Amino acid sequence: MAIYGTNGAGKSSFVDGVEVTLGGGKVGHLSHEYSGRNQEKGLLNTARPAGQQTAVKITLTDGSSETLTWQAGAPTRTKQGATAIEHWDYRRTALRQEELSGFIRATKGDKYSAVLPLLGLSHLETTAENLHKLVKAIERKGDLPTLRAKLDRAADRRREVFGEQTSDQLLARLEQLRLIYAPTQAVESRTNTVADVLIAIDDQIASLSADQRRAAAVGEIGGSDLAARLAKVSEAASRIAEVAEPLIKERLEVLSAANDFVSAGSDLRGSIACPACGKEVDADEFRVHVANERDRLSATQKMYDEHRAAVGEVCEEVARLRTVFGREDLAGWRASLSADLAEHAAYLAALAPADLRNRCGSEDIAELQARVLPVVARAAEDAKASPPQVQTLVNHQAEGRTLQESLKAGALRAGLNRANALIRLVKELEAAVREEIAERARTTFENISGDVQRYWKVLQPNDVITDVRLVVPEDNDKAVEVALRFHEKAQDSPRLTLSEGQRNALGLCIFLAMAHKAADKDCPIILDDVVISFDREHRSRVGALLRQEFPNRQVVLLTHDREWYFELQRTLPGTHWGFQRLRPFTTPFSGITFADHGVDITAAKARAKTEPEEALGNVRRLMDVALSEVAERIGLAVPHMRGDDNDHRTAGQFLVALERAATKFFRKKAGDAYVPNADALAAIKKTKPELAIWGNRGTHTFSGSTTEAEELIDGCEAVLGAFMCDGCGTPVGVYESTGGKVECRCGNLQWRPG
Amino acid sequence: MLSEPGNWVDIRLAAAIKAATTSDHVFPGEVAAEFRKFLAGPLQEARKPAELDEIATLLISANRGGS
Repeated sequence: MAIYGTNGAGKSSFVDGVEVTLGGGKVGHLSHEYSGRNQEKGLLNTARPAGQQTAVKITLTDGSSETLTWQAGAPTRTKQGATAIEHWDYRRTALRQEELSGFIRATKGDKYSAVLPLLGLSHLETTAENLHKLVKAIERKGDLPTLRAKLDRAADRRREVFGEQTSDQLLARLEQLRLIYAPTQAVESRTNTVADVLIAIDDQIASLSADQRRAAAVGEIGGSDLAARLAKVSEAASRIAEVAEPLIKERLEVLSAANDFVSAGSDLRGSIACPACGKEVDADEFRVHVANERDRLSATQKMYDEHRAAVGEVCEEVARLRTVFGREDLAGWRASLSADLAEHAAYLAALAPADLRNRCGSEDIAELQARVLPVVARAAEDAKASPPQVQTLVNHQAEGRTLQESLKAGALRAGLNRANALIRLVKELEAAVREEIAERARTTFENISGDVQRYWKVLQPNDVITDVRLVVPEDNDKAVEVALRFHEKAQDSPRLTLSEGQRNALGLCIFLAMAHKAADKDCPIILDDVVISFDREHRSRVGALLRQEFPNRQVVLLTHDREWYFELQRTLPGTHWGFQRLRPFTTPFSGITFADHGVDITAAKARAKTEPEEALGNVRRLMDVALSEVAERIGLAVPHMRGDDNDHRTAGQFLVALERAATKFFRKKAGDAYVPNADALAAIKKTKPELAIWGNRGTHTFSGSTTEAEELIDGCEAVLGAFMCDGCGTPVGVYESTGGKVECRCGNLQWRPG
Repeated sequence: MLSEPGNWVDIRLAAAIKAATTSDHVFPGEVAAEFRKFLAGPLQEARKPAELDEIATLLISANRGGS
């Protein structure tokens, strides 16, 4: 079946209906931010009358059907009978112009993306993209930057307290501390042992005199590694600063370059200036180049993550210092501080670590360094004067805490190793999925290459381009290239050889070859406006290709190319092909409507009895379409009109041209000779004014009588009947004779221009 | 190979696990089970960051041996 309709008439809605049925209730080109979660803002008629239901129904000739209905949210699917529809694959059933043009415009990398849907592999590409993004998600959810910062911190602290001692030496030290502080505790685990030691040390500190407890608390403050933690934040901040300035400068250049890029209307071919850095790169390398830029931004993101983690470490230590500093035991020490230090101490006491974590910037770090570090330094100095017994307890406490952190670090490291292994696995899987895509693409290309080349020869019989095929380069995960021979010479850069129309033809050949492989699914082939970039000659070959290669498949051609539509009508066998025309879309209330071609005069007559004004309007619209078909068949010369008006001529305009031309050109066989077709001319002369007056009145003022309607309908029937042969039952124009003459099949009617 | 090979997930997954396994870490069976489920369905459609975060959380948990 061939369906003609002007732009916006609703042709693609039929393809949408098929896609929504085969594609899980969604339509690919409607997936955008405005279409709603279930595409309810894109799929459904916005002017659906109250009480009406939105539905798509596909019925097969065996009576089976599949129906999607919408109430709210996702559609409900119902099936009638064991329908074959469930085995159809949309990508092997329908091809839209935009899918084909995507392939036409594509560079090597883009072509990869454009060809995947044709091969039915886009879901695997989505899988690979998701796996790529999953690495970041694991980093995020596993809080790996924080984990890494904690491990770094634990390693630094261990070096500060234990120098370069080995893990075995540390365990030996833990055993010594256990024997000192918790000799009677059962050794269940190292974690428990270190906890027992720290509790015992805390108990001993608690049992000291007030002065000794104060000295111990001062020692705890003095032993703080806040300075090192602040240094980490400063280092991370300076690393960010190093890249931030050029990055900002570069982003500004991006805006400027991107603007130039868009203004120039570049179609990503040849050498282009990268919008990210301005570097001249080949269009094919552009994607890779952009990916590298993205990776560089990822490295910057990692710096920010490290900075955040370092800030977290500072905040933890500040919280600990506040707790120790606030102890009652330290009241005397706090009172002994100088005015400056007392002010700093007040600052420390007033700090809210949670707020600090959220807002911590360079000023906060500078303030911590200026205010809290002097307090820590003073405590460290005072701790030196502590009694030896207290100093020992504080030192052992610091060792115990460091051992505890080291043991925790072991668990953290195991977690980090697990996460890294998981990331490694995801990366391996991404590579594996891309390999799967490439393998399947290669297999499919090999599988269909014979068909592609046969179709290509039909569409492009020019033998200077031969051996056209798609290839997947071995050395590139995301590329598909066209290989061919031009004048027998293999082309390194086929894009320089294939024209836009040829690339379009290649895309069509690939789709048809894929559709051919799905022949066992008994599914139709639907082509939506796929010949836009074809010239007249190559467009004609599409019909020939379909007739030759798909004689037993149901094919639906949707086109806005009126000339091609009428050409198909003439060249495709009417026994196998049907032809329909869509009316231009007017309002959502009337929706998509087929023109009443087929000349359903009977229905118009029946309506004339009860609704004459409706019948008058209907018969006029009916004649608009029917006479355009008559005109197309006989090659009626009509004055050129501006733009789309050529496609929207009225029946009245056709009758004027027919009256003028029929006098000279329309003949009827009488014996062995052709004589002017007087009956036809009379019918045209009579009907022309009636149609102009009554038809227009019925259409525009909704007035008219039954007599007028019946008389006009009879006249129209006579006009159309005059172009249909009583003998062979075919219209004049179905057969092309010599000298530009067209005839009915038996030759009884003849239109002889000139 | 125009139809979807039913066992491609198992084959590719097994190879990837083998390649990613080291002496430091052996993947629990739960990881393979989760990936098999995700590769055969949810990951084949475009996912929002929040949805990928959910999948990541499940995988992290599975990688601990489901703990």
